[in-house]
Amino acid sequence: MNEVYLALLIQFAVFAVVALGLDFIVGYTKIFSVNQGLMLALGAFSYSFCVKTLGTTSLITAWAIGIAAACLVSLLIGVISLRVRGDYFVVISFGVQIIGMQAIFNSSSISGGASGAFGLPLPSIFGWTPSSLSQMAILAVIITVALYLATALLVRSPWGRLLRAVGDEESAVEAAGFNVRRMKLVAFVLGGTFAAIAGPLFVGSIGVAQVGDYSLGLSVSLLAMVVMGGAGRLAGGLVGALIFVGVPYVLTYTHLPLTTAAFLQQAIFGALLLLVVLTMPSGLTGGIALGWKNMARRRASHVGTDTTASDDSGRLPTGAQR
Amino acid sequence: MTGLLTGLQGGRIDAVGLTKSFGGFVAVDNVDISIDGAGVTALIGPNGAGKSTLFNLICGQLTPDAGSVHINGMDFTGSPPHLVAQQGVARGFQDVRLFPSMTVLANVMVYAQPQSSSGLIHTMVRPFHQFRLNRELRATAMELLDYLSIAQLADQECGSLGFAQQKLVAIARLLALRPRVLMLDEPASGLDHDGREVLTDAITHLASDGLTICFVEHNTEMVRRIADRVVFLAQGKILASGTSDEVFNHSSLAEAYLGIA
Repeated sequence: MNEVYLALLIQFAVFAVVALGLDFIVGYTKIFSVNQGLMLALGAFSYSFCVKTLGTTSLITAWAIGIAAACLVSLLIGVISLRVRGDYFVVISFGVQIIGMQAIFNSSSISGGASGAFGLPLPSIFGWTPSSLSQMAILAVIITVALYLATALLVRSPWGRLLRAVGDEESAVEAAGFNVRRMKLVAFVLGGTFAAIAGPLFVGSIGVAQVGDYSLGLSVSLLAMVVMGGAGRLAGGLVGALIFVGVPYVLTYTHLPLTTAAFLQQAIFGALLLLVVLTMPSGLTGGIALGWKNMARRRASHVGTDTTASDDSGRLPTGAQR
Repeated sequence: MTGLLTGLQGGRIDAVGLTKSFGGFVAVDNVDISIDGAGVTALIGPNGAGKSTLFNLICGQLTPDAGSVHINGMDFTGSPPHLVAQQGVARGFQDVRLFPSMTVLANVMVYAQPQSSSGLIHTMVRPFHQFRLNRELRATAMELLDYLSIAQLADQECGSLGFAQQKLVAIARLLALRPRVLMLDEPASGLDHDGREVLTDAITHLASDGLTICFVEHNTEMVRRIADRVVFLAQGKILASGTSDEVFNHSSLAEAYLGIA
């Protein structure tokens, strides 16, 4: 496969993993966190630390360090800021993102400061190193699929149901005897862990880790991906990631000057986000699901008027297929 | 009577000297109240008497300025709501507070979930146990919905329900906790005649089965029918308590409601 497509595929996988994790926070507990860029950076720079300082390309080592760091920072943010809600939390979250990235920037032995860490090799796992970008892409896809399946299991479990309930009406979850504060903290840590898993895959495949890539802008984009795709829906993050990776690529076909294309890209994202938020409160996936349901109902009722078996709803969609 | 709700055990709440003010307004003023044993206590009083505030103080939604709350003999003064709930005190809200994006069944399932298997670690260590657990929770929830004659609502989203239906779902949810003490804040308001009959029956049955029940209510007919004891609260103070006849004939009641001395 073309190297460009492979790079896009890996990028999609990375964003999809981060978005899946972020959905526990945004879609389920409904906390609007803009720390996911920082969490991705913790994973990314764990890998550059492993390569530059520890002299290993092992994904497992990088994950261990990255996840530990992300959990620790998430816990810290959570304990301090989950006392406040809504707007106040977002403001604290902004601050943490900026302070955190500045701290990484200043640890120049790990992050390389302004210039960044260059020449990072493809990561290895269990002693196996992908020998080409296509093998790396396969690895990234396998990890994404595994995390997707894990997420699917988690959100359907009693724990997932409880987490959704926290976002719906937390006082009623407390009144059922559950510690809501701890549940939010767990969601926060889990989201951070997903981002820390994605980090090494990202920098390992592009070979560079630069502080500037993990700005507040990225955090907001990640949040927008989840909201646009459909918060609280499994496929939501994937669809959001697809849009964020797909739109810039499609724009390259227009052969516009780079600055124009970059501007157009931002404008398209902005317009799309507005459109989705205003017309489909539950995101693209939610809007499509609702449209599908309405269409099926309309067809069923249409068929129902000229058949006698209008109460046999199980059979009607089949009839409507003709 | 559903099998889930047999062999219930009552609980005990003792509040002493409870006081709470908001700014200069004393909402609850040095209230002593004990709720225990199998039986129904009705809390009545005009709007703003402090009934909901008293509920909030007992159940941990508010911290008292003074006084203490003992639940089943242990001190829970100022404890957070989830710890009070873990003692078997199930508290309903006047404004219902269902989970609007979830189905009726899922609402009840959340309340039926045991603490021990609802954590992330448990879910990750035993990822496939959840299928069996979900099946059990669903059966429990269906049984409770059936008990309150609202099984037909199971798959509806709570946000789309009428207020009366939401009220009954909230009761089903509370019963899923297998509580020892049921605290209901105006459970019958907004219910139609049929709904009120179902609720009255349920409360009477549960109380005779051993549950301790305390409820706030304005409907005097319902209070007379099911309350073993009536506590009359006005301006944050208990003015009278006793059987419904005693309290309804008490001079302070007419005074507080109608302004007649």
